[in-house]
Amino acid sequence: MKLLSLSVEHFRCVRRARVDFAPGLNVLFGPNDLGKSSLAHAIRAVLLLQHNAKEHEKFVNWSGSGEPHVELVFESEPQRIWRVRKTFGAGGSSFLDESRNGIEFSNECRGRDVDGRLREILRWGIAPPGKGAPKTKGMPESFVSTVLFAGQDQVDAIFERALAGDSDESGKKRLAEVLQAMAEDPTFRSVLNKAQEYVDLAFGSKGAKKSGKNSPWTKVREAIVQALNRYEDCQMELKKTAAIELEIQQLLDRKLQSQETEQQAQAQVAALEADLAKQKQRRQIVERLEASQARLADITKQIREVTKAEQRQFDLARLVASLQSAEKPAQDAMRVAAARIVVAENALAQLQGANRTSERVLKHNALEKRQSDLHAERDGNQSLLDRITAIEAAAKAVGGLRDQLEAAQKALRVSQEQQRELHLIGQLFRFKTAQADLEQAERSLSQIDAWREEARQKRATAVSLESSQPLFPLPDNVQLTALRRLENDLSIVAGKLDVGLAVTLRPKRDLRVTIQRDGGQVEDHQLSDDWEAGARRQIWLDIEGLAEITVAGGADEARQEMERLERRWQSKAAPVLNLAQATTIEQLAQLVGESEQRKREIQAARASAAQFEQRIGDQPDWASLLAERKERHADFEKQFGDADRAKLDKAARRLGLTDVATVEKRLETLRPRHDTLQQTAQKLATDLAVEQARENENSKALEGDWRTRQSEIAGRQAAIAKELPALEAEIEGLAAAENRGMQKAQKALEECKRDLAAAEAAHQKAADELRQACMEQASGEGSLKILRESAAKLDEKAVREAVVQVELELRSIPLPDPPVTEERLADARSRLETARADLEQISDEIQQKRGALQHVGGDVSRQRAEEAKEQLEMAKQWERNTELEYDAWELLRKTLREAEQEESGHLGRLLAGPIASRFSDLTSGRYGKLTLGPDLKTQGIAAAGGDREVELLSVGTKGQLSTLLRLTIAEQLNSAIVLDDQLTQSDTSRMLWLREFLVEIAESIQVIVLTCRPDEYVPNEAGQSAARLIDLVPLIDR
Amino acid sequence: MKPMEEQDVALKILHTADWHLGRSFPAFSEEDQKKLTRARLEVVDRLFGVAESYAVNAVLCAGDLFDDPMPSDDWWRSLLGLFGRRKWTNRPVFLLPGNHDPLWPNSVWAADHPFRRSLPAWVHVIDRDGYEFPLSEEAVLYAAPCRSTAGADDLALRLSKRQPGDKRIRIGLVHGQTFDMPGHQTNFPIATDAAQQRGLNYLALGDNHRYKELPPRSCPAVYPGTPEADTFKESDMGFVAVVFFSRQGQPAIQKEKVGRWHWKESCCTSLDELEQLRQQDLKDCVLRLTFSMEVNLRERERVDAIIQELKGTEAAHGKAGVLACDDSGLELVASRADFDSYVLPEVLKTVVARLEEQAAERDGIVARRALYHLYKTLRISGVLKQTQSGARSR
Repeated sequence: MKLLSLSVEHFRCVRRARVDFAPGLNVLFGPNDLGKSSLAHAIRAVLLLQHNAKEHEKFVNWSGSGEPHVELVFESEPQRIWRVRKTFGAGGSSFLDESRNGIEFSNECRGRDVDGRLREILRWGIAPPGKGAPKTKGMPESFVSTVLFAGQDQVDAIFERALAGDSDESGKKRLAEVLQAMAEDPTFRSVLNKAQEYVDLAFGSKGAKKSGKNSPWTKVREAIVQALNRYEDCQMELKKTAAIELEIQQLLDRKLQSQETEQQAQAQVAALEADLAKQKQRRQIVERLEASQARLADITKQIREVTKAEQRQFDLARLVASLQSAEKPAQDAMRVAAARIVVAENALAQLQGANRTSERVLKHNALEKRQSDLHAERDGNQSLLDRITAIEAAAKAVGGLRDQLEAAQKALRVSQEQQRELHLIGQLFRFKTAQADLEQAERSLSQIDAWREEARQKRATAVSLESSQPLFPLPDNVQLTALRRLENDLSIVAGKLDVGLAVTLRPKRDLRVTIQRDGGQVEDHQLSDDWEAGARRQIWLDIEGLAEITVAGGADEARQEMERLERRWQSKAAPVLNLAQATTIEQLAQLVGESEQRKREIQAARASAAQFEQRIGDQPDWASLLAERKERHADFEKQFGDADRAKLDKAARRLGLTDVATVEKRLETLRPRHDTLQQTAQKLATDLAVEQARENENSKALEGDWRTRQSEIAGRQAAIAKELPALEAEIEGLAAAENRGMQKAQKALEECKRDLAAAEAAHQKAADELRQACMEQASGEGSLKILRESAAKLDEKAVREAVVQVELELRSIPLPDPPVTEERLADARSRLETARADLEQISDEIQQKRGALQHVGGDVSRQRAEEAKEQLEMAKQWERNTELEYDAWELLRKTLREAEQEESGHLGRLLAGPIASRFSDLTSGRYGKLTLGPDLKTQGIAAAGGDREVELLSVGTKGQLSTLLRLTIAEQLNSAIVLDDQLTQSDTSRMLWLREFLVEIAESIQVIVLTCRPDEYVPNEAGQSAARLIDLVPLIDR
Repeated sequence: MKPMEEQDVALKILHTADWHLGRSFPAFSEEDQKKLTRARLEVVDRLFGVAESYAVNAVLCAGDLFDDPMPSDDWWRSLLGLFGRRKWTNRPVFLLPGNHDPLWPNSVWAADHPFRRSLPAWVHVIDRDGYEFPLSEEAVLYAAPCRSTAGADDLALRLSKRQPGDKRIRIGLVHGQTFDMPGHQTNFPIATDAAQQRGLNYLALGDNHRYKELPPRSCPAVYPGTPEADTFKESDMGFVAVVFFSRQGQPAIQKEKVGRWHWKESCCTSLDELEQLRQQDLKDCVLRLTFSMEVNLRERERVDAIIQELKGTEAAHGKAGVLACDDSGLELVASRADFDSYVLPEVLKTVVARLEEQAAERDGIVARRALYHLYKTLRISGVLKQTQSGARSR
């Protein structure tokens, strides 16, 4: 800061004065009471005091004419020139104007705003007036204002003040800045700047990571997000793959277990079947053994029967022979008796006459003939009865054979029925299989329809999404980034142009003005007084159509850059935005994002549709299969007819049958037994036919049914048996009717007849016995012949050997322990079937899972997941490196700052050195180190080996120390300083040193000295030209 | 050198696979990714050149020719361009869909895809099972495509069996992995004896990225591997197989190098090793550089300089063709001793001391890096160099 001019009116003792200041040392001199201090006071007042402050009363011109008015022009920095005008008093005013050349000023602010703005410009540690500002009585002062503009009576004031007493921090901050800069090392600064540059690139003001496009984190984050997204997608796909593979592996393990179970079950079934086969074999062997044993027993029995029959025949032969030999005496006796009868009869006939005798004889002969006939009939009948007996025996044998045949046939029928039932059950199982196949085909077709519908919907979705896609080409990410960069560049350049503009119009007459600010709406104004217009970047004015003025802010380069960027915007961005009907790049980016999202959805929908189509394509021709299976099913249905399936199901369960194989097995088991039964039945039928033929042959001889004939003959025999005695009685009665004389003859005859009867009876008995024996012998001979024939066919030895062989065979096959039952076998088979069904189901599931795996990626997804993982790890490594890099820069910056603050935080320490050095020089080493507090409060000075309080110094020395302190601070602040007769108590030698010092320091700052002894400040020889002497006498109108 | 006399040769084929056109390499920088992806197309042109130089009768491409069933237009258009430059009317080329580019309805192999429609007549896509093509009167090709990204069926066993009396040279072409454990392989398993089972003289396989010949020599199954290496994990990549069939059907295989890049991993344990690596010719090398060494600030500066030299700058190509560098194994040992020979202002000495204190702590990695930043900044600004020579001090 430096002062350019001061104008004062009606201020204390000064009526009017104007002083123009020069750079460097300005020595304003004049006699006492001229008003020099009033000028110094005016400078303080115009810079620090509000125009309506009560303090102004002190400025009122002693002559009482006019309001005190001060105008000060100063330059705060090159080409920033300020003019502050204040008229003090209740009706006073304040204006602050700005200029770049010191000639043309524009108003910055007025009234109350002036003081606030001034304090911002000066930064002296005085709070701007207004709300929150501390209330101060009198002239507002601060450490810096005291340093720069202390009054004549304030020589020691600087020792009393400290920055801590300021009403705001601006003074302290300003001093800290300049003092730190003073103490700063350039190398340190360059390192700090570098570190700060990196930190600013990466972190915001609050230490958060930056997210802008230039931030190093942005690309890292984008890379991580991209890698993470890809990784998560791949992981998801991989998880699906892994899950399916795990399921497949588990299924394969299960399959192995199931195969083992199936093998065990199969082995168990095989073992049981083998045992059962052994058991059956044993049973068959036992049956064969029993049969052989029975056969052997039968043979033995038959042989025994032959022997017995032979013995019997032998006995019968002896009996017949005996009877035959017994019959002859009986015949002889009978013949004798018959002869005696003839004799007797002749005797009798003689007795009875010829005719009578003849009649009697005739009758007797008839009776005898009748008797003889009856005897013959009786014998014939007996013969027939014997034959009937043989027929009865044959019929009995036929009956037995028939029963056996019937039993065999019944068993055969049962077997046939079982076979038929098994056949039907087999058909039922085939039907069920066909039905299951049919249902599977129907389900598969239905599934294919569902997939086809899914695929169609996905395709429709894809088409629908495609129709939503914009018809015009949208920019890709690179173009979008370029457009964003362009937008950002535009915004940055706009920021550079955004400098704030103000135009003040002072119309000489009423004016119509049209204005447009920053390209906004056009406004019309009718002006009669001063009019100010402000804008951020550009103001366009049309003054009554006479002239157009365009005021634009910012450097030329920035405006040219703006034009270039706007041209690029119009050529690159605007067409794209128009096409997309977007107003901002963000909207465009959103459109691009939506379009990309739709693209992805389209791709996903198409891929999904393709997967469904692939699945459909992978399926066999289910329609043909369905037709075939329907046909097959219908065939089975037809074959079944009205068979009771429930009954068949029940039968299958009862029989422990689970499928066609078990049925076939069972049928196989039944078949040998059935064959055996058939053979047995055929044999029995043959035997029966033989017996029946035999019976028929005998029956034929009987001429009629043997049973009828038997009863007839039996009845005839009974009648004969009844008639014979009657006939005998009649014969006897015929004899009795003879005469008495004849009684003797008759008696003799009777005796003869009795003898004959006895002989006949004996003969009859013998004949009967002989006949019976002969019959028995004949019958026995037939039976013996049959028995012998049968026995001749028997091979007892072979049968015995067979028995032994079968016994050995039986012993060679041990009985399973525990014995195998059909239930056990059925149970084992059921377990085997269950195991096979499980195995089949697992195999189906494995196929399904493998089918599913075809749609999730398999090894491809694994490879891609590995790539994605590698990408993610690289991105994370990049992030770690970036973090390490920038954390290190931040740590370096922080450490640099901490070290710097420790070095420079103590303002007093920074400043004390130069001052102490100068003061020591001034006092020829009498005083040493000056102690200033952190806020520049003077604490003491080293003298005579110890620290001394400043108060203990002499007035002159205090004044010199105060001046040195103030000048040094002003030098650091690069600010003008006013010294109002500060060195009046200095001796000549020190004054000389001080004068040289003032000349030296005035080379860098403006020093304004108010004095009544200018020669003390202006050397006669050297440095004269460096000081400007200003005689105030002609300039001050009192 | 040809494995048999020309007059004995009944048929010559070039067998290649796993081009993976369009494959991305996201673990590398954008520039390096471009080099590696472009290399996959460049090698196809080279292998076509090999086919011409050997005057083979047919070129068999055994799957995974694209990295994706629906590659971007660039890839299939570029491949069409390569085909367009050849006029092989008597040299059929067979393209087989693999598990990376399966025969999907909407894939690049689809009949209505512009790629398919634009293929020359002598380029054939295996787009059906039971594919059969007479290569000559004496030779026939059988092939089956992958229809999904994963499958459990052995495609080689889908090829038809040699019929009694068939004396022709039978060549199979499928994509998948040979395996040892039946039922436990999901990536298109190929039985190791598939060639024998199907009566093939040669089974041309794809999927394995390294070159591999499976016995027996009379009817081998061969993976030519990828023609351009694509990973650090495998070796023996970058080949095609040129196969000569005798009139008796006996194949003789010539392993022909076509790949440009070799992938190399190098872990340096000393600065000397790094210096030696720097001396090597690495222009066709994809180099993954890692470290396991301690360095002080000066050495670290040298390491950075070498890495920069290997990697290249905007103005100069790097010595390494492609460089992926992981410096996390570089243990920085930093202390004020690194600054001892320099004259620093007090305030910077304080900074060095404080950072050294923190660097000595267990988690002092940030402080060590901060010391390195300080060191490099001072070096770049010339302060250290100047002060070291004693030119200037404050």
